Amino acid sequence: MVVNILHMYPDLLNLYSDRGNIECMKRRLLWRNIDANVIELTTESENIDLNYVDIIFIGGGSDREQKIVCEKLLCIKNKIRKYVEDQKVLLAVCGGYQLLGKYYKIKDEMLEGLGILDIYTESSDKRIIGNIILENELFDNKIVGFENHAGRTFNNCYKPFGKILIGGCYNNFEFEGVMHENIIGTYLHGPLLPKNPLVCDHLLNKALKQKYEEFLSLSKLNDDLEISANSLFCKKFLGKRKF
Amino acid sequence: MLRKLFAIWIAKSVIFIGKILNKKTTSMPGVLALKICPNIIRILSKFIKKEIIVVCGTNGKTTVNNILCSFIENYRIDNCEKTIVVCNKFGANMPSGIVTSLIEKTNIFGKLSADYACFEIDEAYVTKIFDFLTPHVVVITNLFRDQLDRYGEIDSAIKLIENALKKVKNSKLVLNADDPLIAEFGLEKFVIEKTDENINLSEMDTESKHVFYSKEYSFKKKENIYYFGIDEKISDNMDEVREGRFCILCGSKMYYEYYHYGQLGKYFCENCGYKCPEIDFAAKDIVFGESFKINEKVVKFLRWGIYDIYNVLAALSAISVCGIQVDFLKVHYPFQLGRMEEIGLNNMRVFLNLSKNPAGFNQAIHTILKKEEFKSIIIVINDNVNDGKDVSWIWDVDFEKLNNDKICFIGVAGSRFYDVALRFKYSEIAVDYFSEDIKQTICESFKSRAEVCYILVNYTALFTTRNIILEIRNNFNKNELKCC
Ligand SMILES: [Zn+2]
Repeated sequence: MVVNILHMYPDLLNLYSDRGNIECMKRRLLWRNIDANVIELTTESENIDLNYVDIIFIGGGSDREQKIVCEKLLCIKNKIRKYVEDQKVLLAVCGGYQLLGKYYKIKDEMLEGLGILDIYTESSDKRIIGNIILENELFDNKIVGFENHAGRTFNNCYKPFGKILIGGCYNNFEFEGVMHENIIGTYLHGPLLPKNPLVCDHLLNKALKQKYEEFLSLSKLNDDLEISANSLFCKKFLGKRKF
Repeated sequence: MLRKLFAIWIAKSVIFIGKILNKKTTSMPGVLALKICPNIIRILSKFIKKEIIVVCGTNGKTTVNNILCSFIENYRIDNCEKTIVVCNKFGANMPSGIVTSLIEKTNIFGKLSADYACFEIDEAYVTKIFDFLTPHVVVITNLFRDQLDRYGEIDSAIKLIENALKKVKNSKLVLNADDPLIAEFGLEKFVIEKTDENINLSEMDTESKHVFYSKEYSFKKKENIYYFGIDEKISDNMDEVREGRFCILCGSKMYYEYYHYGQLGKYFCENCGYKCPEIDFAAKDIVFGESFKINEKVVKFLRWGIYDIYNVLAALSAISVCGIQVDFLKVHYPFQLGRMEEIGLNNMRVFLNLSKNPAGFNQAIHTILKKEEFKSIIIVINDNVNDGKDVSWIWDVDFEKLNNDKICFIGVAGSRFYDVALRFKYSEIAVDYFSEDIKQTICESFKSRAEVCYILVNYTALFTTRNIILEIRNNFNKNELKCC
């Protein structure tokens, strides 16, 4: 078995060490003797055939970089639409998450999004910066990470990625992100996956099931280090929470 | 007036009490003085007889500022006996730190006597400080991604400096030509309208249609701008995150004839014409550990890092711009805590190095790997407020390079040790020991066959780690061979 992971525009969207997510997916496949093939779609890539792609990852960049990516993405909008309609896996973090929506409004400027999700984002003067912890019943462990974004993304249609336990500090946002079909969109970086191996496996599982009918489930890995990291993080930051 | 005196007295008493308690007070006196007299920087800086030099930028501020200071202190104005320099030597680079250093040189009657001032200023405060302080020379070293959660993004750091520079239009700027994010501050752009028949959008298929720009620039150096830079290729290309990979002016990909580290190098943009400007102070003929030349003048250079060249170069450029005549063969490397600081322990040599961001860490790793001995490496990362709480940048450090057979022990410690341990796990680099406990980790490293121990730390880990090493040394000296 082989999983083809497409990293979208790592040459532009690399602001928050997103390659950690790619590394995590890749290693967790290889450790299970499943081949992993990472393809980078850069600003210089000519053409891309998404038929061979099983997981798309798209990360975040500065507003300036995001504008460039936006132009590029709109050119392959239809391909991405079809990819999503095929129930394939897509993980979008930060800027990538914003671009999935209908638009991203930065002050007076409207940045057209891919419109794959019925969400929209508006920028604010105050950045939301800090550690963040989410809860999602799908996962036994909490989802931990760091957020740093000026955009406020409004999701009125889909299940969230998680209920906010701490984070989203300047808002009264109760939920964070989107989890819709095989798409996860979220502001969590740090990077997201290494400290949240269950989320990583969830995506890998979906991708393999989608691709191989005979695939049953992922074998267990020794995640002691990951789980300890996750637990200590929760202990440290949830402990301080005022109820 | 009374307010000013009161502020000075209060601050002076705090400094005095600090001295009695043997505590360094670099910011508290200033915090109090500013509360009492917000105008104090303006009032006191007026007393400076000659130039005020300000150093900004992400990496190397403290070093550049200290080299500047020690050079100027050794410079004899009109054969006078002493040159007095106000300097925030210890890296207290916020307004309070600047006020403290000014007050240290002020007498109780509110009169400051000093010939020169050199201040390093944090990017986040430079705009505010320039409301009160008018420097003659501003040096900008480099811009790297640093403590993201404080400033947002590198773009906002650029804006901060840009806005600050607008307030000091008459100051001379000493800029790093090799940093595309900085060189632009000194250039005036002229737009050339292009009538380009080569590009016919309708003929292109929509899939590969890129953003096209029909404008090009021509550039002219503004007045009072001085560029320094390294004018030869010195390193093998190192793979790391380069902040300025895309042209800051037009957004297209930037090309490099060569680059030194980070985004620093000989860059050019094919699309709009932006490129590394002509250098006024060019470093050449670099021999690490020996010497290099600035415009044919030989500089003694007993260091190993590329960043060391930039630091010396920036300082000497600023000094030349001020018209101060100094002997380039006598570069004083001021001692600095935790900058590859060597601490000897019996049979073990320990080097402690502070890095605050990926560029700094990569440079440290690069420097360490140049040495042949068997070594152990310990990484200590904390996430206290002064470090920036976001540690995701550790994924941008080339830790993969530590897969090297001269490295016999890798240890990880500090409050975010798990993050670093995971970073190593997912790069399949074996970690020999990890724990929040710094002392325990250091002691474990002594069990390996390493001859040298390099400890790479971030900001708030520095003092804790340093104290622990000194404590271990004391125990050694007391012949207690057990280290822990
Ligand atoms: Zn350009």
